[in-house]
Amino acid sequence: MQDKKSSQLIKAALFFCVVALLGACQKGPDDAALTTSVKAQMAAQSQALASMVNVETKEGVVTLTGTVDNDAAKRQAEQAAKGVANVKSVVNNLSVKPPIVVSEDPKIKSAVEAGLAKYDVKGVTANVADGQVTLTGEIPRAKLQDVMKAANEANPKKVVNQLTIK
Amino acid sequence: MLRDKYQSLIAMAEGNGVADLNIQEQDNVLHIHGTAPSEAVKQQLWDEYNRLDPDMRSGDVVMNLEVAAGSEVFYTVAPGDSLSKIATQYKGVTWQKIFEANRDQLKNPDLIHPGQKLRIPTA
Repeated sequence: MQDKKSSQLIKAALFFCVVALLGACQKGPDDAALTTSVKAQMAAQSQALASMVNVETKEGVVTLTGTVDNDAAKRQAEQAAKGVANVKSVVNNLSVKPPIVVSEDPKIKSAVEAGLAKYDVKGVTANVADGQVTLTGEIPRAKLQDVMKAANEANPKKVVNQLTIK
Repeated sequence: MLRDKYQSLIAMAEGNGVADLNIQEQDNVLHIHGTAPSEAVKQQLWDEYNRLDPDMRSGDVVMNLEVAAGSEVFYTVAPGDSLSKIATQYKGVTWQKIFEANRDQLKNPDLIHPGQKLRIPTA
């Protein structure tokens, strides 16, 4: 008798356990799985972006933290998270790096010219407008890196290489 | 993202002790600013950039690297010198390290010429 009673108790206990587990399953994808999906979605667009953004999910709400290069990257991360099914909302707490300050045009121009002299390059003209250096002239391939170094090290916004490389 | 295109260059900068390294994409240009520990590291990074963009016409990188002051000394080769003989004059420096630091001008460690200026890396 005692044995039968205790086995019934065990059966009842097991039954409740199964019911409880089923209930948990019906809650839908869990937070950890959502975090994984959001990360995968970002990585599919850009591995670099995914590596810079931390993702945390609580009850379907995704929170993004970390530091990215610019506003476009911040928006891109948010859009990627919003595109994942079952994400209820996205809290975008990403911070953006302060912008890089480039030199003024006359300063860039004199720095490029000093750089060209330092690297012993002749026959190159550097035009500077709105922070952008445009290089023209004819150089041997062996001098390409030196010309580019001279322009890059003048702290410009952009370098446009229109050189003829012999 | 330009960081993906130049991933190998970024990894090289991060893995070779470039100080004050700031890598940032701005107005569709990837800026790489920092101080390389030696001229050799700076050159290695330029070679990688050049490998990724052989004619350097993409206009999407500004790599502005300084070289740490006092990171290197130079030695002018005298007649009868060899790399191993030069190495004995500097504490903690091996001929292999001198050869590595001068790969831009040395093809063969047994061939050096009087008057050549060799970079001596810090130990």
